[in-house]
Amino acid sequence: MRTLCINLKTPQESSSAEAFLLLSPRVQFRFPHFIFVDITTTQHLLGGELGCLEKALEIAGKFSADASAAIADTAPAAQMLAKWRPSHVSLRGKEQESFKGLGLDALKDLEGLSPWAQKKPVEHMIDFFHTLGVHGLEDVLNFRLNSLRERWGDFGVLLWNRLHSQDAQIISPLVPRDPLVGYGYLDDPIGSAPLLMARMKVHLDTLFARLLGLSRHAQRLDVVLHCEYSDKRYSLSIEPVSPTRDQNLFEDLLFKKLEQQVLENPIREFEISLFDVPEKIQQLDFFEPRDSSEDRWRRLISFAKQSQCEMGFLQMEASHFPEQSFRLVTDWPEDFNPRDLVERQDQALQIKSVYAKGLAESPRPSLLLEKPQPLSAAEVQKLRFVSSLPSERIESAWWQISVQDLKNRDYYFALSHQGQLLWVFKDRINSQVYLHGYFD
Amino acid sequence: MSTLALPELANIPFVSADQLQPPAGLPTGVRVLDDFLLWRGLPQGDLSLLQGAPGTGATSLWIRIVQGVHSQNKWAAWINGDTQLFPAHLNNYKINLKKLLVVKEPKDQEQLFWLLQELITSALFEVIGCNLKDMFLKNHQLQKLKRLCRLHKVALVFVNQKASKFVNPLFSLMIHFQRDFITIQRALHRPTPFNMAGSMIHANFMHQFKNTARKLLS
Repeated sequence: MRTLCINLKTPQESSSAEAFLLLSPRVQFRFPHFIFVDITTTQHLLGGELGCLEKALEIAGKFSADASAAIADTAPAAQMLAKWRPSHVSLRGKEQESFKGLGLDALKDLEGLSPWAQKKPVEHMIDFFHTLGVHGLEDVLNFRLNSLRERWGDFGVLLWNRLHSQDAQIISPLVPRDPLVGYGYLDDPIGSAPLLMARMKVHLDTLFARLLGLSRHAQRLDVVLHCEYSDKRYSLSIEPVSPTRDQNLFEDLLFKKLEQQVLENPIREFEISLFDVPEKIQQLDFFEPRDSSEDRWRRLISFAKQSQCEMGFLQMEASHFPEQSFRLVTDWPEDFNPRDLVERQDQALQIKSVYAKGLAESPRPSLLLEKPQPLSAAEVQKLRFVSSLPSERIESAWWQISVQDLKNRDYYFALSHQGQLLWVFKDRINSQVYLHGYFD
Repeated sequence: MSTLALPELANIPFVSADQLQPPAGLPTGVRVLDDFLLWRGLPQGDLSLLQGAPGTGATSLWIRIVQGVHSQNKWAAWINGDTQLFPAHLNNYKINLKKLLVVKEPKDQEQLFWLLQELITSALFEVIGCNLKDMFLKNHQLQKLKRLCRLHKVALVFVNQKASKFVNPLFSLMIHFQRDFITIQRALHRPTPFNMAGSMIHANFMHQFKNTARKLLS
């Protein structure tokens, strides 16, 4: 078995182990700041043991500034090497060779998943070895099992086993259970958005590292800020148009929201909750350009959505009413196929008719008014209609006749006295003329 | 008394006419217009203003530019005014709706300015069209947008429905549409005003009326 031990050096929560699921499903956290990963079967996926080590240190950087890691056959040896020989990879089956040159103090870190119950016996043992004139760890390897058993009983046997790679500690697969939440208490209350953002960034870093390890995407980020001088609290909710793992986007959106808040009453504590959704599996074409234009427009649309501005792509819909024949969508618009679908099977022929198909080739103005604008009789008189017959007629069923809905229309082209080419329609119920668009 | 030493004529590195290149522009597809303008189209990395009452053809010119942009597989954006861009019309011009980002009418001038800055700095779009309605931007805002456009090489085209005779030097190109004829009010390094027949831009549009199924025009 090959074990990677990461020493984060600052106390962490057990959920931080989730970030290391990228390396292997077999991950275990040990209080206060050790992560053990079984990389026996997954190291080749990350470019070998060195690749694993680099990746682990990269992830650990989000939790601690001076994390260290090492790889050995057993968990105790890996932990010891992570402290005394950072970034060391021991030879497979010969991890004792890596002990050369280490002092006896290293025995205190020969723990692995189960730490020493008490430090005193280890210290006593080290003192005893010193009195014998043994100062290096490799000299302790020469002692026989029976000698250690006679002197220290089970404790001696355990030490001998750990030194000779006989203490197999199995790392079980990690089942993530902790919610994606962060909490911060500020000793000095903060009333400035950039400073507050800097304090929250640490929590966001760990949350997004966990998200990556869990292979999930964030759909929404909720932040609750508690004020110092009252029970007032600010609730900020960030929701991009599509679930993403883009931490910068969430940070930018959050900062923009924070800037809008009046933080006269400074913030004492904050809570962050991240709502995750499964990762969408995307099959990329080999020849497809890997540019990030999609990320950029998604980011742009998210920004606009947050500032209450609608933005997107035009999606055509099958409807005879021009104002209902399209809408804005925030995702790629689907192709509108205005042709009937003809299916042939042996002698049989089936035609699936498409609604509003004839409209695709009709003349349509470039600009459409959101609501038809009624024209006064004087305005209508000034118009010059291009033809006396309507170019198009929209007629609804006889039981749906009502003036409010404007469902009976005769469309005309008309020229105004300013030379504008207009798209107007006459309501067939009350003969009122409406302006509906411009051939601009 | 020192005298200014001028270089010898032979030492001055002259550039031949073949080596001269026009500044970057987006062709409109209207040959007369492209030949007339310095940029062989609308200026890229600069501001342009198309003005005229709705229904006189300003949007058509912008759509023609988008056609060219889409043929190069690049993106365009449009900000609606009180009227909205109609996709059925765009389909007739073979505009790729997947590469055209449309923004609904902004609430106020401040939001419009913010939006324009975001769109330009996203570096996604070759050309951005903006229907101004009656929200006209202030000069210092236009200056900032101009600087951003230069930086990101974006052609920003304003479509103003209320034509003004005042020629703002911040726009490198100003065109006034009157349907029957089009006046170029300002174009850098070109003699203006310059008039063109309106049919040059609308000629392409008449095919809609000549649809045999409808027979509006013989």
